[in-house]
Amino acid sequence: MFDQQTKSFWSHLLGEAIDGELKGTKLTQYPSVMTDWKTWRKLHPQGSVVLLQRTANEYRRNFYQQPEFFVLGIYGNSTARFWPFSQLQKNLAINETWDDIPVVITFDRPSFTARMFRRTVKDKTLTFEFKQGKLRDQETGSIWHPVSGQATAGSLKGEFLSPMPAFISYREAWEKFHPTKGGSSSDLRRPKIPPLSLDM
Amino acid sequence: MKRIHWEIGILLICVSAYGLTRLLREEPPDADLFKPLRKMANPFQPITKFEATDVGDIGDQLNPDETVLGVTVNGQSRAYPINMLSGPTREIINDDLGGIAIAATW
Repeated sequence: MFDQQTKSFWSHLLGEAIDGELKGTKLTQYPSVMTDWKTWRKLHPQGSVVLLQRTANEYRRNFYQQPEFFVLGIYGNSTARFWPFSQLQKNLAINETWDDIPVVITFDRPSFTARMFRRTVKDKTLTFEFKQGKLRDQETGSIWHPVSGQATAGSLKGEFLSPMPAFISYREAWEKFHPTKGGSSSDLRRPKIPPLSLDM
Repeated sequence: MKRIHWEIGILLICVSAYGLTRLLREEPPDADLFKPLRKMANPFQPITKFEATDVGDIGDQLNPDETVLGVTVNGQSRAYPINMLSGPTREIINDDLGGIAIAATW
């Protein structure tokens, strides 16, 4: 990835220029989500969509058929960490502290969507669990949407969890760009993925 | 025979030492690694002009199970269908959303 103005060379996975005039400069990350159209449409009916000519057709819900190849990863200035999809599939709400921030990693099975949110609301840190098909916090019993991070029932109804800029990557790519700086100790199996094809 | 054992031993030590240095390497790949790719892929015109369609007007242009990259900036939400961002000439969309200049990349 190059910028036209300085021709510096940028890395997607580092969010940083790794060559050229701007070498070492980091881009500000915005929280984003990879989900299916059905889920996004429902959550953002007032939003917009960038429609270009279709160049592929395979990126659908079943693209993640081999969840061991994918991770949800996050990086900061000094630390990076990832959670494999194979772990998220089993634990739909993981309460963690990342970079001194209490966070929850959620996984929505129907849409195969992984997200990370801060789990502090109104100065209160919440503990999340997934029970009877719903994401709820133990402190207030409120029910939360695992993709939007909004409370849909309970005393915190209407509140939003603040999303963190975690994103989905191939595990192999993440480990190359953020080596030995994280990973989940509960899943150390390293899948061998086929080489990525460059679809020119 | 003893000499063969000795040589195999040295070889194993070398292989292990190489493996260990690989494991302990903490630096991500540097720019040099991408040089062959940079020669192979020609620069393309940046994508800066395109239309954004309201969610309500999409109809059946997208399938319910298609993957989208979604982002909300200053209250404005926008989706980028991954099946339209695939391929080296498509992977960066230079956009403005919620008053902020962003690059949606895949």
